[in-house]
Amino acid sequence: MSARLVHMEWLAVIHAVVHVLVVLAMPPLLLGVIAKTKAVFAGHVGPPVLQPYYDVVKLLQKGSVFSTTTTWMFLAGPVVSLATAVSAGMLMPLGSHAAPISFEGDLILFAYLLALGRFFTASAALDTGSAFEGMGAAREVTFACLAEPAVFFALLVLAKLSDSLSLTGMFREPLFAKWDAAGASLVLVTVSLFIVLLAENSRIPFDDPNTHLELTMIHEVMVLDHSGPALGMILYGAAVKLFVLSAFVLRVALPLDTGNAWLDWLLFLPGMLVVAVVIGIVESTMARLRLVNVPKVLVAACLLAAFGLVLVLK
Amino acid sequence: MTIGLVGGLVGISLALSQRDLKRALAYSSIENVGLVALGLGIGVWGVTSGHATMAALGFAGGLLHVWNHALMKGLMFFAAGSVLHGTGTKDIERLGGVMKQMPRTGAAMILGAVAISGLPPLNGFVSEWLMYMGLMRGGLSHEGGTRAVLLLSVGAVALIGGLALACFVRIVGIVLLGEARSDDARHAHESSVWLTGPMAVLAVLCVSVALLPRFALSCTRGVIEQVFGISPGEFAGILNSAESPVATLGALNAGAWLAIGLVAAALAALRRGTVESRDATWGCGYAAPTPRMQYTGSSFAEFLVARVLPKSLRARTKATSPAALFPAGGEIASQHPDPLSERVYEPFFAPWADRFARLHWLQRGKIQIYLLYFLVVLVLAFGWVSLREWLKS
Repeated sequence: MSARLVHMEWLAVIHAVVHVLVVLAMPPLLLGVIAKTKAVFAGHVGPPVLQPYYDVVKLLQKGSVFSTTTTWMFLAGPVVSLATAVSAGMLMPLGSHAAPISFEGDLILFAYLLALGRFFTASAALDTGSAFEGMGAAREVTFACLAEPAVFFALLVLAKLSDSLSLTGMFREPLFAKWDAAGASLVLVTVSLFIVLLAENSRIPFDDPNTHLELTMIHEVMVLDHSGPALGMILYGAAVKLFVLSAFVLRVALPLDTGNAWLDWLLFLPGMLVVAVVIGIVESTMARLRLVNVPKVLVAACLLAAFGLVLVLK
Repeated sequence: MTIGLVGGLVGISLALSQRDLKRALAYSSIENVGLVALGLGIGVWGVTSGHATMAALGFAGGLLHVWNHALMKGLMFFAAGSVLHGTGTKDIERLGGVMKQMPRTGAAMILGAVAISGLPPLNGFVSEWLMYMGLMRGGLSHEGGTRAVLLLSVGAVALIGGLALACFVRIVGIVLLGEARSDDARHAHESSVWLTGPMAVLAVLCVSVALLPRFALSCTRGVIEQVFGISPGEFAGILNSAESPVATLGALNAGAWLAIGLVAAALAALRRGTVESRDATWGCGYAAPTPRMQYTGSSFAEFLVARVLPKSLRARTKATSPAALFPAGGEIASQHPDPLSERVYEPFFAPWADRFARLHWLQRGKIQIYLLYFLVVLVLAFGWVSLREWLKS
């Protein structure tokens, strides 16, 4: 009996280690897959799938230029946003095993860690004194106001279905059976979360991450002045955030659970690539929204999730 | 609870567009008192519906938020006072770049802003977490329509959180960061230890409440027992149970500090040995940027205030845009009226003020006449009392 328990504990440790490694290593791959998908749609070859890794490594080795206007807040932006994105990744269960850190109520910590990252990214943007970056910061915090309730409603639907207030608890029992009973509200939640995923990571139709110029309106414009290792951290941190939120969408949309934890890993990893391809397809087939319409789409995401919540309460 | 939510939303929405630093902080107090009311409302709801967990979480969150708000808002007002002392202005649009001259005040203000936005790893997060937990626990276990109300309020609290974040990013970003917007801000000087010392104490307290939430909560235990009749044992039991592990939250706050420290150390290590230079902020090719080209407090809040908030909470703006081929100077003016005082207090009190003004001839300013009034009132009172006694007998 005790030998079996020890074995279980060791297994949990091994899964936690794999979890940490996946959260740290996989995110840039998603960016690469999105870029490749868009290239295929546009009919050209595109950069290699591993290009984001090369970019991050190159940036981390480079020197940097700091604006004379800036203070330490300018560097706190990349540091805190990367730290919070990775910490949020520690709360999100990936396969069928428990996340490395989980407790009742961690879903609030999850949402607020991402908010902390946003606070410092936006402050760092304002630190440069540039009009463009101020504009980006203002938009980022505005859209986040509307995305936040949508995330909470979606979390509540899952909490209601699983009777648990921790992310690990929500996905402990496979959602498969619940798709049967509460399929409608889970569809609403998936759509709402996908919209939030695109908005929070500044993808098309909310923002265009490709135009590395002032025309890009939200995230890229906030990091216009960062360079060298700081920019590398921002790129990497943004990828981790994309990974964590994609994992959330995937875990809701892919309710399967094979019963074997290792097989679940094998299911999860290609699943993430599929999410990246879907994001790539959305980006290839849609144009960017007019800025004034962005709040409407986000309110719609909130309402979808709220309807989903009302449906499960029925 | 409704009062709390409405107060929270209205308070923070109005704080968003204020030009006066201290006035913005005052509006944010309305928001925070709203959150306190929300917490107590959750608690009362829990007591009346016999849901002990919800009651304990709500009361704990509300009362802890009273403490937290005292610490955070004290810190923010001290910092704002120090900025006023160092620059001579509290007009947000005239400040900017103060951080370079006032690093200690600036750091204190940033810490206070993060705390008051309810973000981890600081104390504001602990009390907001308790309230969220109260709402969610209550909402998941109640029946029928009540749980929908509770769970939908979670969204409203999330919205308050998002707006508070926008409000305090604006305060930090426009006041402390960027370039100075006026000579006052350019010639700022750091305040003495007597001003920065108390800020340091409050900042340390903010961090300690976040790291040791159980200790802070034990201070509220007496109130909760006396006023709301929840025994200390039960209270502690609920807050330390696996369903709402407050101590874990403290540990994770410490973990978040550690994670941030590790990444910061990594960045420092990466920067070592690389070539670094300093230059002006990239102006996209424009060679003569001025501080006037920066985003201002009004423009930062403009998108949110004008596009997202309801009309009654918006600032009133009058703008004359430059037009024609050789435009004359444009003009923009904005006002930030308080809808409550304009639409509720003033219409209610103005007619009364009129009526009372008609009694103005009574006020002569001579003490003899006032003594006569006393005498008349006394005689009338005695007369009334004796008349009643006489009628009874």
